[in-house]
Amino acid sequence: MARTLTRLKKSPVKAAPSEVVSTPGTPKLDNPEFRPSSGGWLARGGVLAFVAVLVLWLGPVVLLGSEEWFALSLAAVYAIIGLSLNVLIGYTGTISLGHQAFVGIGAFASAYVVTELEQPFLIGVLVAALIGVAQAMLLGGLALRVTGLYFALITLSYGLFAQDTLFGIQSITGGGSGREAPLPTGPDNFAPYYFICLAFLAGVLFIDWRLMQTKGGRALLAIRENPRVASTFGINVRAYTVLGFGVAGLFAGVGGALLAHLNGFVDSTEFSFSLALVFVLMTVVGGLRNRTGIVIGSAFFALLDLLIRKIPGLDSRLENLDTTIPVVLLVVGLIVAVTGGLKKAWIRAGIGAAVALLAILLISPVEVPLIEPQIAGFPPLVPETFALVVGPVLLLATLVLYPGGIGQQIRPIQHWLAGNRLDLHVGGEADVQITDVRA
Amino acid sequence: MAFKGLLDPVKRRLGDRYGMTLGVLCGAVLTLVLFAIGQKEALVLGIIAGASYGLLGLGLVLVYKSSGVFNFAQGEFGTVAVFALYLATTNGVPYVFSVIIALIVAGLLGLLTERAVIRPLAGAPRVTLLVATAGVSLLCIGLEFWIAQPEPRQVAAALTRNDRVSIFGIFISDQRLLIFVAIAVIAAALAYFFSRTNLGLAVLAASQEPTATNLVGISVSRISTLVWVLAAVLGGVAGVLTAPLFGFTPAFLTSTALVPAFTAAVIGGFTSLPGAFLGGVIVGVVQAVASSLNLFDSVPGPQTASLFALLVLILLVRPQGLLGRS
Repeated sequence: MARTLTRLKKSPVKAAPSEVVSTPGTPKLDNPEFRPSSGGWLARGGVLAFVAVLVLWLGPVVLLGSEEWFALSLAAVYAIIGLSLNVLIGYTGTISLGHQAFVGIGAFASAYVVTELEQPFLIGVLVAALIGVAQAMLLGGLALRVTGLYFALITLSYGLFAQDTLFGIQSITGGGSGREAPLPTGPDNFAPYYFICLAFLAGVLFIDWRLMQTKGGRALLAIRENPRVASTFGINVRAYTVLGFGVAGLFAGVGGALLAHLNGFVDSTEFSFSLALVFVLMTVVGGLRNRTGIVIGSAFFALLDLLIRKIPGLDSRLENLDTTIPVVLLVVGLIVAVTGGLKKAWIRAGIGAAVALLAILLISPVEVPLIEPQIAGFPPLVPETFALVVGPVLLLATLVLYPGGIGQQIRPIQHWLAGNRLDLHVGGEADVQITDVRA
Repeated sequence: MAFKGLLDPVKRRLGDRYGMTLGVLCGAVLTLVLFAIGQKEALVLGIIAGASYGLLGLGLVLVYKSSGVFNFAQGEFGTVAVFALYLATTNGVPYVFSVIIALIVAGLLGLLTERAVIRPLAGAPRVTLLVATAGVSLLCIGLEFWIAQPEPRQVAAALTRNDRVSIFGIFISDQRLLIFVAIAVIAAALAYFFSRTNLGLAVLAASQEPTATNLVGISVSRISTLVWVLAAVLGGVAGVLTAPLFGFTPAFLTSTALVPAFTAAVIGGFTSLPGAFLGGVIVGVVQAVASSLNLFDSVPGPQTASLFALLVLILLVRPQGLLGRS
């Protein structure tokens, strides 16, 4: 009986025209009868295959250096960590400002198991995951008593506590000198390790997807909306909140272990508060509750350093201008593109003007004077530290202009790939709020 | 719980002063214990450090009281002011004018934050606003690192004499005393502002019933601007007064004092201005004792550990803080 009811709900019921009109803001109902033609399916398959080639095969062809392999592996690890934070902020609606503790605990656990207990790499990851779950569940117990802003404060303080106290315990973490965490694929051999990280990322994505398709995921979303209402519907608020934390801890533990072995060693200075903020940045900019968006956002932040270091010196003419200026211009362009600013005409015009100016500078016979930006009393500006400015600007632009982040930008593409008509207006702001009433 | 109702008659008798009494009692017991175990120096050091936390905490309380936001940018308002002070003094501007310039810069930063970030997010969930203020803070930190590099710098103090006052053999510099004076003056002025002036009452009204406040002819958005500028100037005062003590680096207030200041505000009850000072002193003393006692010898980072324990304890036992109202 229940089954027929759900079937009935899913069957194409024609909505009365007035109903459609009465909900402005939501995209028009897709025609459920719509099926892409075989050419359409081919195009969709082609796009997916292109992405797969980009991720799996393009590396060996274009990016051969170990530096690039390292950065790619880091992107996969960051994506796992971003998905972990997404479980907390996106699904359970509790913000964590101390996620460096989650990740760091996994990193130290795996490093300890592999170097001190001399176990294989996979055992290290497993132990890291279990310890990650345990510590996250303990913190989750606290989240049952203290909620909202005050809990954010607790996580912040917890992160600092982990950084100073937990990671300073000599016998486990090696104190100030840190601990070795050998790369399982041999020293500096990052290429196979990238595929190991990708495999773990695929596993995490699968768990996340299954979680949100089942009762547990729906319970988490209900609790995020309103814990009291959820409990009147028979949802065990305590159990599911702790479950949410457990899943976040699992992902973060795995991510931490992979990060430790990627870096080759772990020490406590690595897991500072600023790292936690980078994690929050990439998750929010990626777009909460949108797995693809978060993977893209996290990869962007992981590759940002590489991008900024590789781009200066595009052209000998440009070197004459201080490298800071092209980097700043390029990054501003990236920010505008990522946050969807391209939809505004005046921003497009501004970019056009900047590009034209740059082109004139490049082809004109006039000698470009050396410009070294500097503020009196301070050293000259260098592009290396500019990465620190990019993230926050992206975050603020995301929050203020496009609360759905990258996830909102790519919604139409996802929608199309799933077999619908291309509709550029899919992905309203209603389903991308950062968090709701729990504060 | 057999003891659950034990204190009820006392609570009823004391009413609003219950929290205050509790705080004073705890303080007295703590002081006695510290004297008994020979840690009176820690008491003095803690109170000194706590004053800086309290000063930063005042700005946090001001923003929370009037807009319900945890302002993670408060530390950066101070640090940016210190950078402005440093730039002005190294370029030959007299000290007094440099301080004024620094406070104006802080105020402008507050104005900018309100216009560019807080106002577009009006009506957004409070956690979103929290992330947004953290974003402002990060942006300031990024710019500071980009412009100034992470090396430590020194900035001149308003008062330079160091040996005027000493308690238990610990000299307290005049700059430290100035912090106490500033905190007393600011707390008194803000308390007067919120309880006795029309504008202060309007600020409270705007935080509690924004729509109704607009309806009676008070501009809520102007009040929001006022509050953020005021908070930023307070942050600037905190930065300018504390930077000369240890020198400064980019993000020095955020990394050293923001979490203690938040804890101080939580202990004080987050709506109480004297509470921020009281909380600051408690945090300072607990940290000083934790780092001077041998009890924590086996545990690294006693200051952050004690801070975390204190925060969790307060939020579990008395979430409304000592001087706050539930």
